[in-house]
Amino acid sequence: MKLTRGESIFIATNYFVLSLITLIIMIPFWYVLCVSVTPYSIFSEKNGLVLFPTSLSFDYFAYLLKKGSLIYNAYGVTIRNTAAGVLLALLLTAAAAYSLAEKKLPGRRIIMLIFMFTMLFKGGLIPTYITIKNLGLLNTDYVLILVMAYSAFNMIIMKSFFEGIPDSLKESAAIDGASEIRTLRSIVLPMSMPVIASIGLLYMVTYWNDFFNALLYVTDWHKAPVQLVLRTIIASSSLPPELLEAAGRTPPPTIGIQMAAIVIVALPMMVLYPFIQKYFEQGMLIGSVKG
Amino acid sequence: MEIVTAGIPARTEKPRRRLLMKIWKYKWLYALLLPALAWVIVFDYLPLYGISIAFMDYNVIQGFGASKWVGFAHFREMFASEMFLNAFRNTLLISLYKMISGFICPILLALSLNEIRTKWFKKTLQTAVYLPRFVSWVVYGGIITLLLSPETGVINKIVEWFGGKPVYLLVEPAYFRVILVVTDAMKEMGWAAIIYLAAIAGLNPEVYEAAVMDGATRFQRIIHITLPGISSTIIVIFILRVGYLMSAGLDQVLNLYNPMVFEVGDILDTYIYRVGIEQFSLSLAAAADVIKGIIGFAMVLIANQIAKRINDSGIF
Repeated sequence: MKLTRGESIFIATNYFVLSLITLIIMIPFWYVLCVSVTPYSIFSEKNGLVLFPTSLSFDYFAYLLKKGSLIYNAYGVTIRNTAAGVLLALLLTAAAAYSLAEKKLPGRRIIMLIFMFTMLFKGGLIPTYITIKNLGLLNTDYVLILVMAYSAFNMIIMKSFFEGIPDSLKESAAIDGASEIRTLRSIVLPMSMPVIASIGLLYMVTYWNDFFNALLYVTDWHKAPVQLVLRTIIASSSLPPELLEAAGRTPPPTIGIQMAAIVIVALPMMVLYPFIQKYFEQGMLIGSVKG
Repeated sequence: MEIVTAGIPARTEKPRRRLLMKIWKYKWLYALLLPALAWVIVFDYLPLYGISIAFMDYNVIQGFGASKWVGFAHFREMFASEMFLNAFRNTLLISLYKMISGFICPILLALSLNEIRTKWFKKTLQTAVYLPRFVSWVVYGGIITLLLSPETGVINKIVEWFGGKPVYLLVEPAYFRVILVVTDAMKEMGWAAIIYLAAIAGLNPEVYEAAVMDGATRFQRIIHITLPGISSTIIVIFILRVGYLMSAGLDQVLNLYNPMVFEVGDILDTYIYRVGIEQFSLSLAAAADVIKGIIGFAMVLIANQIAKRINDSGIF
């Protein structure tokens, strides 16, 4: 097919503009990576403009990752919260979604209303904080696992997926004498792996990236997830004493420390993400069908 | 069956028994509901009771029982406070700006991505523009702060290059909202474009072929086929955003703002956090929560009504 002159210009412009947008989005990440591995002398010599690392130094990382550093503990907390949280969240969400997908369930409308009302009206930050405090959950090991374990939005996505499973499949299993639980385990679950993967990954990102719940509910540094430690490193020009304890020498310039900390916190998710991207897209699509 | 049992009390009992039988039949499904129900009751419904502290002088140590009721005193105090009114105004403004940019950018992005026919190139672009969504605002805020700083920031180097004077952009009230809107778009627009890309992929290819036969240019095809084709998706997404009017981006603002820009950047969520958690005026902050909740509730209902009227597909 022959392109007209106008169309060629249109296509070229489109390629150019999109590449430019992509560069604008990606360069900040690249820049942070460069700063984190550039020695401070070169960094200041170049006036901060290091878009390519001319000489490598891992001083900042060595400083942050010294034996006994708070980072290790924080990373452990984050990994534990994410693993336990995703598991718990999937259980809660999938079980409720499966149940509510059954149209003949007596009282379904009322139960749905109970679940949906909280999407419309929430108690808000302070009433929730008071509740968590009165329940004695502040500063516990499991408070962060619990507070993020259910999202009405994810439940609705799963429910609309389960509603799409033909009743005839479940009925034929029932005729063969399978119990509800058995049907769920051997027919519905295997069919639902894509949606479970998608929702599980959405929860994973939520748990991994959360800092605000941690800021509210955790004040003990030894229970703090890595995002909270990072926030402290970035927000205050001084480092938390718990972090300095292990390092035991004067810290290198703050800016490098901050950038190295960002890399340490963000890298796992960014490296993992391209491999699991298709599941995220899938999840968005299942959601948008109903949307 | 009715005839056999006619006249016996069983007639009234029977439907009830039938219902009980039906409920018993679904016992496992009810059991599956319990964990999520328990969660919703504890973390969503119990806080509704906590709202009462907005009408008390809440005593943190002694709890609800020992706290005195004060009626609307905290609400009066709040509406007299310049800081609250400022946060309220900023919430609406920032939300509105973000609604416009966060609404238009993803559509434009999806439309131009759709015109890329080189498969690997399109895939690479997609991976890149979705990426920022997977880092937290702590990380992204840290990166933005570095880029905008006066001594080391790349943006200032570029300004200097063109003969400008370096400024610390994050403490300048004139730039702060712009920074919020732009960085929000950079972080979220790729991800938000996915829904539109899906909607475009679902359009009928025959219509495009027919348009090509009739000599429509690419641009004409976008305007006359693609855009009308995804209009219902656009409307639903826009309405969903209206429902979030009172949330102007807590994570983002909290990681970027500083006292120098409170005047233009403090939003209700950050105000509530500061007053309630940092300054420990829990009751006053809870009053702000109530105002935020009520307006948010109204916005969702209005948005949903509009959605129903436009294309019969309310979200609730």
